[in-house]
Amino acid sequence: MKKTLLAMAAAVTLSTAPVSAADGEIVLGKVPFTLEHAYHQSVVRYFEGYAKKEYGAKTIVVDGQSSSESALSAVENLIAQKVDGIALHSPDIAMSETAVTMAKKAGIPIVTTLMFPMSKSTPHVQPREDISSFRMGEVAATQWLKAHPDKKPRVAILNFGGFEQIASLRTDPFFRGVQSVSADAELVTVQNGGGSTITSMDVTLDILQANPDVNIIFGANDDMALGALAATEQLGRGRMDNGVPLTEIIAGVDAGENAMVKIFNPNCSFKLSHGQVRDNGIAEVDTLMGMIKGDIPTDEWFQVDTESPTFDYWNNSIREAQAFLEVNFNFDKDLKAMVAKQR
Amino acid sequence: MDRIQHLLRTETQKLVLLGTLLMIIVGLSFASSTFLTVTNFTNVFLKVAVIVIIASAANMLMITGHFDMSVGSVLALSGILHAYMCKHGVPIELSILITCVVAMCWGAVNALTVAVLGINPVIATVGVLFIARGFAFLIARWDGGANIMTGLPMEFVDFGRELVFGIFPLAIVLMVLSLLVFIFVEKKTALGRLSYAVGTNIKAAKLSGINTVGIIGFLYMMVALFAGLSGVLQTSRVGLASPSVGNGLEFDVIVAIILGGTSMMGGVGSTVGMLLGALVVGFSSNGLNLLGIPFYYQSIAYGVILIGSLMLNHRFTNMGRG
Repeated sequence: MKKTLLAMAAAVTLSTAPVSAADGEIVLGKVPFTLEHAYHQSVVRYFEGYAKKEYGAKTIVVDGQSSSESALSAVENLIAQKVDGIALHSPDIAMSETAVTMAKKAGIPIVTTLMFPMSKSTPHVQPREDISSFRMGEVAATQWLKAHPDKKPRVAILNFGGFEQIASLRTDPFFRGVQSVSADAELVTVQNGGGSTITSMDVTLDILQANPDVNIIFGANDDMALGALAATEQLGRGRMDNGVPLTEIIAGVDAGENAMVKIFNPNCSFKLSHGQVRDNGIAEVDTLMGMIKGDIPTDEWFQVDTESPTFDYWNNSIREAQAFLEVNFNFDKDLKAMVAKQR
Repeated sequence: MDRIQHLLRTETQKLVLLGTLLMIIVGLSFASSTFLTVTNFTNVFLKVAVIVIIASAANMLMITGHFDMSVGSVLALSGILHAYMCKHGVPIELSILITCVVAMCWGAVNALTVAVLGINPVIATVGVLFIARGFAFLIARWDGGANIMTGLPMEFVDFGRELVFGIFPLAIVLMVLSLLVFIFVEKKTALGRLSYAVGTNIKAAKLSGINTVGIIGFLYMMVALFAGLSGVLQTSRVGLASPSVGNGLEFDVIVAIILGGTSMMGGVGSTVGMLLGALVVGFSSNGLNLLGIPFYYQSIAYGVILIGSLMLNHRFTNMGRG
């Protein structure tokens, strides 16, 4: 029995032994925000594939689990494994600062995404979600007013709670976009959808009960937008007439498969989303490799912007969405057929 | 008069909760013009339905002095499993049946570890919480994504959005049925009486020849069955299965049960009390949303309402006993 246990322990030790950069292969550490979400799973997949293909680099992924403590622990783990560079998408600015300081102390280049360190002391990849969110607000307001010129936009927003970056990149620009079309647009409420479809459905039911005249709903991710859609459908709303809004317009963020199927359904009120996987993954790997090779300074602020393209029913085609999903989400189905199957 | 005095003495806990609930309802009726409507009450009942369905069985389990921390994960796994099977051609009715059986198997694991092996319920059921959640993510990955929505048959949402007699949402009907079943079990059956006996003194119950393992095991399987059914219901209602749903649901269930006056030590509690507890929580949350109170204040208000209700409960119950 003892021998078996020792053999098992040895096997486990060998299989989990740290991958050292000493064997010549470049090893990158990647800490995604959370591996529970399709978007972040896709970023990781792209990061790993691109690092291997372009630089022959191996990637070690440690899940940030949507928590500051876990993300910090993940960075510590990667430092202990002596990786050559770390790409971090952390939940908050303060945590990013601590992680960057730790990595620098260990002499390991670190690049941040979305959440930069307070001191802005390291290269940073910034998806320009603010531009796309603003654009979605513009389009939503324009389409609403085109169908209902006598009803000013009344907006409800579902966010994640206390994430500053979500406000500055998504929710605030979205409402500013609405206001840019209709100065008297009203922000009726901002509530916490918790990033979850179920919570967002429940919260939206209450929002629409208190404010039945809400006509634009923005979920700060697609899951929340889908929750809002389920709530509107339960109330007999959530409908469009061949792209003409009857009850409301719903927008989300991430532009994944679930959202696209709804967006291109002409009778569904979920109509806009934006997102980017490929370019973020590439930018993170390229920046990190530039730092490792000495082409990019490791201790200076250097912002790499990436686009987060917008997809909406009125200005994009299913073919464009199909191509986007194939490139960014490994999508291998027929979006047009999936849309046609919708009720 | 004697009957009223008797009622006040024996049912103080429920009366306090009922009073709290009425205060919330009256207050919100004045505060929000949209509160006192059929649609809003339907929303509240739909919101608490999953909690009440699971808590009906979990309350009886807690009366035996045990609890189940794995309900949220079993719910998530059941939802994902159901969606996965439906997406891959299993008829919806058969899928529901298989999902319920699988959910009961998780209950059987809890029964084995807690009732047979004697492992602490918190540790044992938290173990199942992690394992079931992991399987939920795994099934979603097998399907090629983080959640399952596209490719589901069009009839998938019918179960969750079903209106019984064209009026009553199925979730609310199931909630009422589960309440009636467990009120009946509690008041009229040997299982109910023996559950109180097990919760009051498990050693004495064993020495009296009561099959404590059978009772606790059966209740664990019922809790898991109800969690599984709720998973199917919720997934079908939203039209999307996500492995991350139900995070923290175990706490919502426990809060409703404890607020309803069931003792964590066992031997005390009632299904009606649990329902009142769940409604206090449900209407409070609904009211805070209707009034447009920002979520950070909501979190504080939610905690204050819970602690306040428990303090009132405690004070009046002690007065009643005095």
